[in-house]
Amino acid sequence: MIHAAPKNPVFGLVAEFSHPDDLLHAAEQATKAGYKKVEAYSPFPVHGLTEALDWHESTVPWMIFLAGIAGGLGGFALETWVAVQAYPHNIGGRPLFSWPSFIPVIFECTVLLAGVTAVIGTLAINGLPRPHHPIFGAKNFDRASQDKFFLCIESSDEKFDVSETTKFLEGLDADSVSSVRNDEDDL
Amino acid sequence: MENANTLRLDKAAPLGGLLAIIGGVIMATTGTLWQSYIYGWLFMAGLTLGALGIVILHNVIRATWSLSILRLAEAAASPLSLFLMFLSWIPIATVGLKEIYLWADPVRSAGDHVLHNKAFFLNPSMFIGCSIAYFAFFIFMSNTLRKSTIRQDQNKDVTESQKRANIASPGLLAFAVVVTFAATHWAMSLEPHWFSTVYPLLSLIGQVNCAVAIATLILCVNANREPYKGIVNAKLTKDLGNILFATTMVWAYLTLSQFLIIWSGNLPEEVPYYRLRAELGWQFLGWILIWGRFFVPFFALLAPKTKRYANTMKWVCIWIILMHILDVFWLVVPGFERGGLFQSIRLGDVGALIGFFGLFLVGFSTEVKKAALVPTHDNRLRENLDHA
Repeated sequence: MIHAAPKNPVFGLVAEFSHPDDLLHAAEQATKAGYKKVEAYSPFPVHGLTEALDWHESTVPWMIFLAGIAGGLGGFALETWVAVQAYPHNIGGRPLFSWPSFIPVIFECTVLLAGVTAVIGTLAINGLPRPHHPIFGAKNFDRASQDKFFLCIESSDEKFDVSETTKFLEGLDADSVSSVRNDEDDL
Repeated sequence: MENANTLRLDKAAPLGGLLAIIGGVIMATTGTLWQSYIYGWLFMAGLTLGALGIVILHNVIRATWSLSILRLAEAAASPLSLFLMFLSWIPIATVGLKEIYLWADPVRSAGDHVLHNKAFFLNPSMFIGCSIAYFAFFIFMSNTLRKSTIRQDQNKDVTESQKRANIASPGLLAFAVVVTFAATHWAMSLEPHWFSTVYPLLSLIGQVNCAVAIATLILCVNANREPYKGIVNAKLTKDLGNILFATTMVWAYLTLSQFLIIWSGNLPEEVPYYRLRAELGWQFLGWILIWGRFFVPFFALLAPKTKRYANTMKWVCIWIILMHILDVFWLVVPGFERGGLFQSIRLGDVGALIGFFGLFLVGFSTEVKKAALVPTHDNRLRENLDHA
């Protein structure tokens, strides 16, 4: 994601936990406290975490839906043009505009465009591919893919305040709370 | 007994009996007795078999969504319910046979070359013999699986699940074959000159779709009562919604396949089925089904918001059930050649639906009391709750 300059040198504050339930609890508390730019990192999927973060992202589903509609209409238009205008053939005496036989291709075009959009849209909205991320600089973060659980409240959050947020995270029984710096290139 | 109170079905069995009598009287007095009878019977027997399909499927895959509606499906397809369907089949096979099926009437089918060639399968003794075998198979499957789940509820013996899977896996395959023959004998032979190899599967998927819709409706309406209060949540309604979504899509896929193949082939022995349904107002019912049986539930169930709440799922289920009633009407009634769509809407058919629903209710309400609504042999539904 491209941020507008000038930027906060602090990317966010990270709390480290040893147990998935603590992470879940912390995520719930952060949402309840009104934080919106909260991200959780865990070595495996934690049931209920998405709900706890109150995470709503409807851009990709809508992109897929609209791409599907566009694919269906496009397929239908192509077939109609080919069969009626470009290459009119008499096939067994049927009308040129034989829409029932267009349906399989309409379906395929719908699925194709929706599927491709799902992949590209997901990558694009997530800002991927992205070789580096500030969170990689967090203390102990390599263990997020092994046995530790992290909750990050990002500095772009409206409620973010270094001392207040640190105090809040410390109150959640975190193993440790540390600050993460933004990459210098981004600043 | 607590279960019975939950669904408030204490007086349902006598009520069902009363409905069956009322339906019977309406059918007998409105002049379309046998046509209405076979329509109502096919609708209800179809739903019973759809429920049996869910029971067999569950014992193969052991999914949590099917577990949540297992006891409802088991009660709907219980040995008693199937036996009631068998009893109500007897009039079809005896006094009504010639009235209902053209091929069974030697006078009307005299000199008919096509029917003569099909006579080895479409003849009264084959019909009766095979039907008894179909019912024997259905009742065997239903009885074995239901007894085993109830036994496991009590003794918690996990080997029971494996035993059921060993029966249900080949049973599912056999079920598909038997239903294919049964649908051919009972429903497709109403228009005996016509044939379609997709037809039995198409009927089955519609029935399964409607059976899941009815079970989901019961869950959603009772979502705030025990024992469903503990298990109906956003995840479960989403799963059930996705199953309804998938079966709706398969229904549309098969419906279109059948139509497209016949339309493309344009052969004289196949097209009369659609010619009959493309004129005199029947085409409107066709369009209602395309939009109502497919597009409406498709788009409704595409939205995650619909599937998240029991309250919205309830309405989708009611819609699917209504559309299935029209769907069976579309499959069965044009073949009676009563005339156009509007001449074909008869009170007797409504009577048939009421009567056979009553008969179904007798079996369902008697059987549903006999076991815990949420099976106790498999705790996954309750465990889900702890993680939610």
